[in-house]
Amino acid sequence: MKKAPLVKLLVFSLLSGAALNAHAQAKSSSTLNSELSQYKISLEESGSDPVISDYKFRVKDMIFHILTGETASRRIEFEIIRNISPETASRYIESRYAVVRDLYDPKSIPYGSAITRDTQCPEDMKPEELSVKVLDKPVQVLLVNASRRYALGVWEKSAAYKKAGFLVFHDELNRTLFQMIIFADLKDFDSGKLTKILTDIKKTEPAG
Amino acid sequence: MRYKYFPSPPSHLLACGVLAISAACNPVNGQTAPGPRGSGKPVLQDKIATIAPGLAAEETAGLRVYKPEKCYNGYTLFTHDPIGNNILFSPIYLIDMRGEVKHQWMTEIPAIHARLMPDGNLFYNTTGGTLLGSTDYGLYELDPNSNVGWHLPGDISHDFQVIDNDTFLISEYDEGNPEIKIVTRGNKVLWTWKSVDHIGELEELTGAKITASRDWAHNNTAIFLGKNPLAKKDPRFKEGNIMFSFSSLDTIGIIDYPSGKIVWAWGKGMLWKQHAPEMLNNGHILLFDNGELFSRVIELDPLSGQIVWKYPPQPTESFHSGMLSNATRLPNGNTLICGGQTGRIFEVTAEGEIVWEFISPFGRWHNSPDIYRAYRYSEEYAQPLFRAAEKIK
Repeated sequence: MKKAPLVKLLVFSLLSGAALNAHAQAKSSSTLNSELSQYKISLEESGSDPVISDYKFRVKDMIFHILTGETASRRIEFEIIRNISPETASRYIESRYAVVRDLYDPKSIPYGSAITRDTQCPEDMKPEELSVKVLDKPVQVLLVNASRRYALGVWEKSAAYKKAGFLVFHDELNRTLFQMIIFADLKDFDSGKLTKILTDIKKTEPAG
Repeated sequence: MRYKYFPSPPSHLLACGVLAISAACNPVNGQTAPGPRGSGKPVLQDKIATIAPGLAAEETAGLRVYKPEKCYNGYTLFTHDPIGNNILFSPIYLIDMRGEVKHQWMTEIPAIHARLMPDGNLFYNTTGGTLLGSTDYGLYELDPNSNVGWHLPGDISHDFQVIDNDTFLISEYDEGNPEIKIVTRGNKVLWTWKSVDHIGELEELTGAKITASRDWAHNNTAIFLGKNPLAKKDPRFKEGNIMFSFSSLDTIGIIDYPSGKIVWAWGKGMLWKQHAPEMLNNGHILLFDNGELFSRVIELDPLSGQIVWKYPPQPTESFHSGMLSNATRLPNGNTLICGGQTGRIFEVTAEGEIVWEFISPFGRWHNSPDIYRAYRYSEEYAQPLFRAAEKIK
């Protein structure tokens, strides 16, 4: 039996490279709209929400942009994927909606560290579904309960502090996908306000 | 459950210079340390925790403690355990000491755990299928831009160790029986160890009768012993032997390489579903003892069977993760602990002071905040990654 080369520690050649930090720091002066302008879209009133988290990284040929804006009354999170192929976009959309729904599906066991001790989500805590026009196309929005720290998948009323609207929409022309989660305090949640944020999303440049 | 076995990754901290050194042995039993196993009291007692354990962790997420002057400053690598996670583009995070994401990879199949390599590439293992039907699990290598450079198929659901750029130690299962293999990048198997062939040795060492029913061992570790001071005293701890952790049997042990004979085992009656033992430079073994009601991290002198260090000093209900988890000794003597089921990663000094604490807020796509393992890398070690990663405006 051949003895394996043991503890031949990895000595890779250091890759020479471009710049250091791959990520932009959150800019206190930036707003959601100032960041979204690169994608040729804008929000209405919520576009002035200050950005609290903003970084990008490459995944294969795509650029991911994690962007979060927050005010006292709401938090809007984007995961934006630039240069995404139609096939990958389709898989992404299918996957993300499935995962959110799966959070509320029955569990065979109450897994030890789960954020619920139940195996069945009460009906009134399951996601509600809306259809909202975003950039002139109908987009499915899942309204779900979330925890104080913005975790989806909350089944227990006593732990539900937030309401979140989850959606993914695709700008095929610009090969850009937008996942959005809009959080508001549960007590202040108004589906009309959420719908308005979404229907107010505009293209800042003419298509094409 | 979406995967067959709880994941467990590689152990020794190449990055932090915590190369596993080997341990000495000690026959089972005859140890001294009291096992803080079980008291019949409720596991969780604070107000939030009465809701559900995961929520207790989640409600307190973010950076909680940071004392820079006392820390081994660097970057912490982790990913969320993929239970309930059937998601395309599952993130692996590298965060700085302030909890800010400094690099992120996206995997097509959720990762169990990952290790950063000195050139900036990343290895990770996966398990199970996804809602999208993928079953391409195994061991993957990613470049800093998440391009898959290499993939070794297999049920590598727990542990792996990168021996060099071409050779890997992996922990697999064959119909529920743990196997440990050495494989090349070309998928040539250089060495195979089948646990079922060594049950008698284990019975002899542990004094326990073992029935090889399904998942009878649940191995979560495969790691070579490095150079260590015990090897001269006892050949069972020689460099190149392999450590395992059979959590179903509450037993850790050492396999003589290349003969495959189990030469040392410990833990029965002392451990409960432990994870991730690794040998320290001083010849002691550090491991996360999950415990039925309380967890603890222990440093064992394998020759004497004495527990020479532990965290916390006294069992506490606030520190419990019944599954997952790991602990690694950092170059400055501190210990990085991942309390897996609470999504909590923290650094403690030898005196037990918490000098850094982070509870991941990133478990968005999960029904739990689980993290299988976490690792700390020095600032210098991470520089090739940052240099290689594309700067994006």
